[in-house]
Amino acid sequence: MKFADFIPSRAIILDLKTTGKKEVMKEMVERIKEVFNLNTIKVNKAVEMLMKREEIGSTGIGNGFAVPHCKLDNLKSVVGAFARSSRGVGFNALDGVAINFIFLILAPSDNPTVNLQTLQHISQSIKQPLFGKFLRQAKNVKAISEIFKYADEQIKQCQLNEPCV
Amino acid sequence: MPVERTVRLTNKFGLHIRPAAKIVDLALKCKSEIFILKDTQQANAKSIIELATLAAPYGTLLSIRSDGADAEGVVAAIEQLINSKFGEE
Repeated sequence: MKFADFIPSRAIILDLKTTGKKEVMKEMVERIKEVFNLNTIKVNKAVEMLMKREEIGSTGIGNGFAVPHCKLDNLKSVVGAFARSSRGVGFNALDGVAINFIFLILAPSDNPTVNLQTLQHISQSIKQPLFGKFLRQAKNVKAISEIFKYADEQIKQCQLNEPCV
Repeated sequence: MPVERTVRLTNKFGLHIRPAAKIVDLALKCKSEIFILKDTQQANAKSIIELATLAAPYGTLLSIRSDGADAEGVVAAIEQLINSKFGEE
């Protein structure tokens, strides 16, 4: 798996204008809809589902990263967007750290395996010591794409040299 | 005393973020380190990020392991949580 499979560079937002959780989700879902040509997706409905998911428990999973996600019918594959927020977005993360990096994921409702693999790819990247630091320093979208490619490569190396989580 | 329990994941969607967060909640109640193992992979039970790297689907055998003096009750609680399908389908 590669980041570019589910987050093409056009789905990367360098710095969010808004800091409200709901507004951020709306901006990101609109971007996904546009980039992936998903004309059938209802943005407000998807945002509502994402917000409901957050009510059950924060998707702020640590180190300043949040992974808001929901399942949608009629999706053929996992689609996502990445956004950086220099001001921070309130996500009530479990470790209390303000969220600066958001991976928003819309997943097909009928494929638990691919959803777990996407989450695994994101988590393995976050675990890499320099991933967050590099993302913080990135000056443009191209730089973020390159960081994603580097993370893809690290994960691939890791899989070749087991055991290595 | 080292303690280890092996348990099968039987919730439909496997070890995604919500179940991982529930494991972390329990693991944080104990001072000792607790690990969840899947084959040769090992994840710190106090980190959602680490648990998510296991990508364990429905049917996976997981081991819960700790060497800590205060871990036995928490390991048993995590075992029970997994057996209860985390309250999911």
